[in-house]
Amino acid sequence: MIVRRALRDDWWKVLAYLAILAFNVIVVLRAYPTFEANLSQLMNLMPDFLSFVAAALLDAGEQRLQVFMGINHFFKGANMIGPAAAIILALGTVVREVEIGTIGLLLSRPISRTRILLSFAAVHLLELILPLTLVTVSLPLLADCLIDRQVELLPFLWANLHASAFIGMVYALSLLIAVLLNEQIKVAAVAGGVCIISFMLYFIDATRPFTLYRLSSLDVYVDIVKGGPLPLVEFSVCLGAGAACLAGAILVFREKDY
Amino acid sequence: MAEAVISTNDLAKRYGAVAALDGVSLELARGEIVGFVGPNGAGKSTFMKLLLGIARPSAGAARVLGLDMIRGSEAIRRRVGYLPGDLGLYRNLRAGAFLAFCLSFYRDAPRGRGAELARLFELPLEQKIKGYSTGMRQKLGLVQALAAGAELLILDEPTKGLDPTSQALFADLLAEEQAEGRSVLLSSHVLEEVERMCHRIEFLDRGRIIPPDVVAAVREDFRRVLSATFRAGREPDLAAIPNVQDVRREKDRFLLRIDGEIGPALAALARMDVDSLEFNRPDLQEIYHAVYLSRRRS
Repeated sequence: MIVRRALRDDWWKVLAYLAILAFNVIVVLRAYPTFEANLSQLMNLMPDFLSFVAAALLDAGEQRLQVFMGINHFFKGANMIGPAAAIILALGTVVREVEIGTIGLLLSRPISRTRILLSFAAVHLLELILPLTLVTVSLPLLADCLIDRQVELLPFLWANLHASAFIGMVYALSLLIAVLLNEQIKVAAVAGGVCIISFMLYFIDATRPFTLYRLSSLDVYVDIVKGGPLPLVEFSVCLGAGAACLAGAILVFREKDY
Repeated sequence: MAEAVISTNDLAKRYGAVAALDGVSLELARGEIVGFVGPNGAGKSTFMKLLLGIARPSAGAARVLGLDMIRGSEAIRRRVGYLPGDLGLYRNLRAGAFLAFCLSFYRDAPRGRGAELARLFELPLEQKIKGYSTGMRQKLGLVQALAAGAELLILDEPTKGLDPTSQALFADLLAEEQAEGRSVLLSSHVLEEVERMCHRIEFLDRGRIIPPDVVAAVREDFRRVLSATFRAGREPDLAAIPNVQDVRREKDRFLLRIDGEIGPALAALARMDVDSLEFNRPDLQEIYHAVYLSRRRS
C-alpha cells in the first residue's frame, strides 16, 4: 500500500521529469544541424570554463552527434534534472510524513521501519530511472525523425546505467538527509545546496576532483558514448556510496523517536 | 487475576535533560478500560508512543499483549488499534482510500467494519479529506482505530473536537468493544467522559503516575465535607457541632468540614432543624483540580 500511495502521489512529478528530459533532448537535437554547421565559430565563443566541452565536441570527429547527444542528455540533462527530481522525491518520504503529522499513524501500523523506507526507496528509484531510460531508448528514434541521422543505442544504454547509479546515489544521500532532519525546507536546502555547489565547483579545474559531479563527469559520458567501457571506479563509488547512504538512512530511521 | 494486556515496569523516556516519562509502572487487564488524565506535557502521549515503538524508551521495560515492547513491536502493532493525539491525515486522499490504506496493514481487520463505522459516524467516504471539518477528521481517525479489529485500543484524546452525538456514539462503541473482551487505554482532558467510560483512572504528572493513596486521600478529604441546609428562620449554632474544622456558606447551604470522627457531628446535626444533609460527592473535575493544585503548591 505504501508503494501504491507513493505512485499515486508522484505521478505528476514523474511526468514532469520525463517531459523535461525529453524536451531537453528534442530542443538540442533540432538545433544540432545549425550547431554543426557553425561549430568552429561557436567554439570560439565558448567561455573558458566550458573549453573542455568544446574540446570534447571538436575531438569527436564522426561520432560528434553521438557525443553531442551524450553530453546533452546525460551530462546536462540527467546531471541537473535527475538530482533535482531525486531531492524532490526524497522530500516526499519520512520528512513529509513528519510535517503533515502522519508519521505517528504510519509507524503505528504493523510494518517494520526498514520496510517502510525500502518501499519508498524502491518506488522512487524506479520513478527516477524509468523516465531517464525511456528517453535514452528513444534517442536513436528522435535523431532519425528530427534530423534524419543515425546514432548507436548500446553506448547510450551504458551511459544510462551510469547516470542511473549517480542519480540513485544522490537520491540515497537526500533520503539520509530527509531522515536526519524534520523539515522539508531544511532537507531541500542541504541536499540541493550540496548538489548546486558541487555542480558549480565542477567547472573550476582546481576543485573539480573534489566534487560529486566528478563521478558523473563529461569525460565519463564522452568515453562511454564513444563506445568505451563503463568506468568501473566511478560506477562502483556511485553504487557503494548510494548503498551506504541508504543503509545509513535505514539505521537512523529505525532508531529515531517520533 | 486477569491476564495483563499492558504491563510496564519503570518505563522512562528522556529528551535530553527533560524527562517526558519518569518511571511509569502500570498494568492493564483484559477487558479493562483505563483512562489517563493529566495536564499537558504530563507524559500521556509519550507513554502511548513507547508502547507502540513510535518512540524508544530510555529505561524500563514493558510487555504488551504478552510480547516484549521492543522485540515484538511489529507483532504488537498488528493487534493494537491506535489513534494518535496529534492526528495528521493525507489530505489529498478520499476518506475511503485513506481508510483502505490504514486497514491494509491488518490481515485480521473485519471486512466492511470500516465502512460500517463510517456510516455510523456519518462520514462521506467518497469525499476528499481536505474537505472534512476538524471533527470529521477526528471521527475518521477513530474509525481507522476501531475498524482494525484489534485486541487493544490505544486512543490519545479520542473525543477531541467531536460533537456531543458523536461523543455518545463513541462511548457506546467503546462499551461494545469492552463487552467483547477488548482492552482500552485512553487519554482525555474531558474528565466527565473519562469518569463515565473508564473502569480505572490514572493521574499523570510530570512523567509520573500520582500514587493511588494521594488521589484516595484527596477523595477522602472531599468526603469529609457535609453539606447541610436548615429550616428557614433558624440560625444554626454550628459552634455546637463537635469536630467541625471549618464552615463555609454558599447561599443557604453550609459546607462543614469534619476533622476526626464523623459520628458525633451527625448526632449533633440530628438534634438541629436540618432540612437536608448530604455527604459531598466530588466529581473527577474537583478531584483533578485538588490533586494537581496540591502538587503545584507542594
